Amino acid sequence: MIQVALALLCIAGAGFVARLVRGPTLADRIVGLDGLLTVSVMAVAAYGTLVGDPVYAVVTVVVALVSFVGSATFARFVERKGLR
Amino acid sequence: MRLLASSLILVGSVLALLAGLGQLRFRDVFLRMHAATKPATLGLALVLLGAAIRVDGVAPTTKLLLAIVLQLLTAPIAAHLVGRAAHRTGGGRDIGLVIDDLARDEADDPDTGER
Repeated sequence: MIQVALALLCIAGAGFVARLVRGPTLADRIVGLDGLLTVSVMAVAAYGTLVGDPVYAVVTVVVALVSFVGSATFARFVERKGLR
Repeated sequence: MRLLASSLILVGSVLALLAGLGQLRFRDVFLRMHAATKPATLGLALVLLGAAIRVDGVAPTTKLLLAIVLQLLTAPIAAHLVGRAAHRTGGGRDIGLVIDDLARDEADDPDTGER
């Protein structure tokens, strides 16, 4: 069941990577990057339960925080510079 | 209990899959954000809750619950900033928005929000 969940997360990550690469505007790329990091947190948590190693719990907290700081900074940068 | 945890992880992954498909099928940045911000809160909370139920020990469970709380606090802020950046860099102009309150407020008061 966890393996099925990991497969679904891989497909979801591919969708976000496609948006990150193609996305016509910079805002689209931010959406793709943020979604990709969200999917990564989910995948780390699911893989952690699969292998039963509690060290993966720390990784979810750190990646969730880095994801927020990254997209907030990128969004403010895009807005202030008026980039498209 | 393991079955419940695995079901939560699977449901959260299905939400993430739908968001990934939405990235491919929706036509502008706001629709894509609409698809992408659902699993950022609910889907991630479900997956981390499933992992918190299934993992052994108090410390990793607490860390996973902390990650849920942090994500519930920060994901709306990040989505708000990204949406505002998309709107201010011209994302809303050529897609035919029916109601555009942010443009109206900025026309009324050019100092709305910080630049």
